[in-house]
Amino acid sequence: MTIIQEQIPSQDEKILVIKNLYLNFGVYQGTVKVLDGIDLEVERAEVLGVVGETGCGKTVTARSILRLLEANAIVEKGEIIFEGGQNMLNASEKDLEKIRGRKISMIFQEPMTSLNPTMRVGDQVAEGLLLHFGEDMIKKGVELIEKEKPPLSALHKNILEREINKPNSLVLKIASRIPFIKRYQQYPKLAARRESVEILRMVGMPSPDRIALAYPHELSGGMRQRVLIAMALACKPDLIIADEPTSAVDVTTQAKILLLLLNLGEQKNTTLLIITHNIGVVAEICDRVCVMYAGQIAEVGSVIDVINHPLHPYTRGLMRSIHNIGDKSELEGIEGNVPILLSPPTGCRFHPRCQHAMSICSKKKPELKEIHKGHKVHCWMYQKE
Amino acid sequence: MTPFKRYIIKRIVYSVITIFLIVFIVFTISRSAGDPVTAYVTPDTPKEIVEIIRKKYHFDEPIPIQFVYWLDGIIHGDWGRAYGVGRRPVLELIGRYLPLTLELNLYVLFIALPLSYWIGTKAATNKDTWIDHAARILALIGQCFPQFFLGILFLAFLYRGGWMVINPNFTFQTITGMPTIDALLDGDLQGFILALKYLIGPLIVLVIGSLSMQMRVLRSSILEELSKDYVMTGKSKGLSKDYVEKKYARRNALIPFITLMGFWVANLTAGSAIVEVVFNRYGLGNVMAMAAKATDHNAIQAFTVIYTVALVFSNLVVDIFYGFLDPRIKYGEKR
Amino acid sequence: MSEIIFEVEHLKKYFGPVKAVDDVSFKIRKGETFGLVGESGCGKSTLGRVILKLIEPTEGKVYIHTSLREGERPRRYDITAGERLRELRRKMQIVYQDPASSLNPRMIIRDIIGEPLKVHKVAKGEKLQDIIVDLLKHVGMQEEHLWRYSYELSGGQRQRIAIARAIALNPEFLVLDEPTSALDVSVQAKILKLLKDLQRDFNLTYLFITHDMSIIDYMCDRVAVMYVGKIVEISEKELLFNEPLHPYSKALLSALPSKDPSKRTLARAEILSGEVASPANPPAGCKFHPRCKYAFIECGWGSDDLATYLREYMGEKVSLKAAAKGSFHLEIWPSAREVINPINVMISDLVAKGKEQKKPLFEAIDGLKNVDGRIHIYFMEKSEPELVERVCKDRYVACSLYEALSDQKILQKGIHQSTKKGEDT
Repeated sequence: MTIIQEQIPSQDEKILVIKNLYLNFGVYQGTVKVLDGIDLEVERAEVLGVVGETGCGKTVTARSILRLLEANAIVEKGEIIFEGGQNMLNASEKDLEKIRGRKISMIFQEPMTSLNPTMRVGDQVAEGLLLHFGEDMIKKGVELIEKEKPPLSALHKNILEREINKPNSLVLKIASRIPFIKRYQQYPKLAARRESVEILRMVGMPSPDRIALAYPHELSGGMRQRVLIAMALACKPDLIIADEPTSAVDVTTQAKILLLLLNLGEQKNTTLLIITHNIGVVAEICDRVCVMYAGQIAEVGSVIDVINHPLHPYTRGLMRSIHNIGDKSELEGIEGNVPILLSPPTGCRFHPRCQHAMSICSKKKPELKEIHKGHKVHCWMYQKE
Repeated sequence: MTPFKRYIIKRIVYSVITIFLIVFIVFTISRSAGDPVTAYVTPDTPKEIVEIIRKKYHFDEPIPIQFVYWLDGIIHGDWGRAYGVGRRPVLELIGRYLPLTLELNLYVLFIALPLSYWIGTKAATNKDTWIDHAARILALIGQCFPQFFLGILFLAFLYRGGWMVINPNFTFQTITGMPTIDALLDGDLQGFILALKYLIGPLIVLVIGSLSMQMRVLRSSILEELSKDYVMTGKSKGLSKDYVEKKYARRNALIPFITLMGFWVANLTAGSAIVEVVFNRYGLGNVMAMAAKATDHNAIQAFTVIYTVALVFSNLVVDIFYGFLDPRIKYGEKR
Repeated sequence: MSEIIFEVEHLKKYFGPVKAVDDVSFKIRKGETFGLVGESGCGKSTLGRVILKLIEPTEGKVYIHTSLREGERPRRYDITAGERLRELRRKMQIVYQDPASSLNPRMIIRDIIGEPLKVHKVAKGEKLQDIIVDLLKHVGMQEEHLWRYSYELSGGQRQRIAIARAIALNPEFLVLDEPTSALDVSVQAKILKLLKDLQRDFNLTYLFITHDMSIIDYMCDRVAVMYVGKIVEISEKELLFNEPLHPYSKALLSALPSKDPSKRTLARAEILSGEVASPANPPAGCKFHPRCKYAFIECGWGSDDLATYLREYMGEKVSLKAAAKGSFHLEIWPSAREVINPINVMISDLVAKGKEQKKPLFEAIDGLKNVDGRIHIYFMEKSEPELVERVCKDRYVACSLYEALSDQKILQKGIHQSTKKGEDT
């Protein structure tokens, strides 16, 4: 079992609120208006899916929560509030580093390239532990010394205890350079490694003690994805953002990973934000889903509402493009193409492709209107000016 | 046998083959260019004497046979006489001049390597700031201006300012053959300063050349690593910008950086010959240039062997070191 | 319409030790859409290219039934032998997965589509242009697109161009290699519809390669399921989805996420242990057996399986080393610290218990010998199951289960409650 204490969920507020987010990319040809007023609320312990096609801005939205954006990304305006705290977009780098991996963590799409190729997999999981739970790891390291009594144990123990109390003392700085004495540093690392083996076991990795010593290139795609999940879980975050967690793996592996994620959501009371283009994934594991198009939100609601009774013309078009096995009906795509966001359509960005477009659609962006409980749409068909 | 051991053995075998081939090719060229006897005789030498000399040195035999004789001599310590460059045994020449080149290259190594590491990192992590621009402009200058040009430039400045000498008279004892070290060993402070002044001209030029190359390589490979996904993963775990830049990106960027050090040695060996000539430093490169002008095959051949061995050996070391850095090489593609 | 247009016989493509396509045979009928489905590494893309001889096969034969001249009766041509290949190429074309890289970025659309027409000297000058414009219209594009470069077009548009190019010579047979996998869902739908329309208008036969089962359901008439270079099942589409015969097909279908949130199926999905086998180092016997719920004694248990078992269940308690001396002969010995005899006893106990519990891995052990302190375990040598017609006409499955039971018994038992000899070992 792991030693890290479980997070006790605090008040019943929304765990994450994105308000009015406008974001641009500065490129050679001009500005790409990637996000055009995103409003999103994530409830605690839910599994929320964010779905959309190429260029809809779902990955950018996810990345902006942790401010992991490219250098040319400019936030025009908006707020991202986590657990009722400050606006993350204004937070200092130091504050963000405390949140990343510890309160909010992210699982990325490409398991092949998302792991450091020259570091053992177990160490990559342990890294987060040492960073965010340093003190616990030191304590565990001390326990290890007491149990196994290696040479110089008294000295090392002493130094470690000092590190807990006076982390920046001069004695430590000196001790960390002297050859045999500096071995004290390995005990917390050892403790963290053992912990990471447990975490790997938790995500269903076979022979976790052996795998922890492996390098990423020695593992299969499914195993690498599990390592990414293990890294995200390591510090028991409140919110996990998974960016296309199963797009790079086979169907049979996908099922395993989805079940794992589902488990996380149910058992550990962790909130999951799943970014995907795959409706099947959303239908199976999400509670609510948000549909995005060209940097705007089209529709938000429970999965059953949005998928089975879609309101927004884009969502309807999307659902009609997907084939359900056994269905005899014909597929229909959506006319036209995704707009180029250097010069996006005005008003509702879907209007050029919409069968129900009215004159107001190109002039003004519709508000987010709640049609019935929990089901909201951004569309002039459902509201008056 | 682990894949790594196999890798090392393979590299060693290739290195040996490479050295052999290069030495043989140079040998063939130098013995084929004109009549090798002419180095040993003057136009007045009577024909019979010429024939005797020709037979003595096996110049009448086919080249591969000559090569075998030559190899035999090498193994037994007879590297011939440098008839074009002072008539001393080649081995003696090497003993006298090699240390000076070695000294120069070592100084360059110990200065340029850490400097390029530091500047390269700074430039990459401060991309597009003035630090970056300055570093890149400097690198450009270093790479664009040929070494003899920089050499002459510095020669003019440094010599006038009394910062350097071109014909030193060393009074201390020769132990290692390297002036700065010998001076220190002998306790001769004046001599040490003199030795430094003898060193500084070539040193600056070579350092500028090496710096440019290495710094740019490190910078671009760090930038490339920084754009990779695993760096984003690291950041998402809360690792600081500094940590991710150094422990993630730079550590993995060292792989191409170190690979290039193999080339660097090549550059150094070639470059040091030029600066030695310009600054009148009596190192191996300088002597080699003289030998080439005089078509002194023994000397040319011997120097070629030394350079080739040095080059191939350094590449071999780099390759093996490379294996330690990159677990994909060390452990092979396992599953 | 049940004439055969395409025949593949015992086709193999080996890249050194990697058996990408390992003895594949099937027939495609004129006018149908034959689906080829499988996960990564199963060899489906390689197969698609080998049958058109775009890659040289290692072994095997591929035949096309067609007529090369107007009015001639169709006859069988051997593609693999290379006879009249150039002319045959007009009859069979391919559309690739990635629209970005399959179109030459330096050519304008007119030339991309025109190239095959020019090479086969179909037309010249204005007549050529007319044909090209016609093709463009057929794939839903306009004349103005003639002058564009591929990078100016969207993914969906590029794929339309690739399709136009493929039908330019009026082929009879098209290989479609994941033609929509790189596209957005709403664009996929349009391209799939286009493909269906074209098939109807031009009387085309398709070999549709994909990993996406819902596309298979939408597009295909018959389906072949591939796993690690082998076809494990061929069935009519409906039958495959309703009553999959091969355990792998079953697992594949059960792993599919449902697209209706009110009818979730994932929790009941059959989760396969292990990872997809690698074509470079496949299991002995039936390649699927290490992951198969229904695997029994005939399935080819061998060294790799036992070695994995030992590592997982014993590895932490005791240090053993094992070397596979061939697929069916395993040698085990203790690592330096352990003593021989206890290991000896332990292994024979293990085997005995396994046999008692009727675990197929142990049931398949033929012999156990102790030679010089090393234990040799011998397995029964089983070969891979062949793809044979079972259960009903035109259904093929490669599974030892079906060889062991008669057709009647299979239908009786119902495949879903099949002989579950031995759970996960």
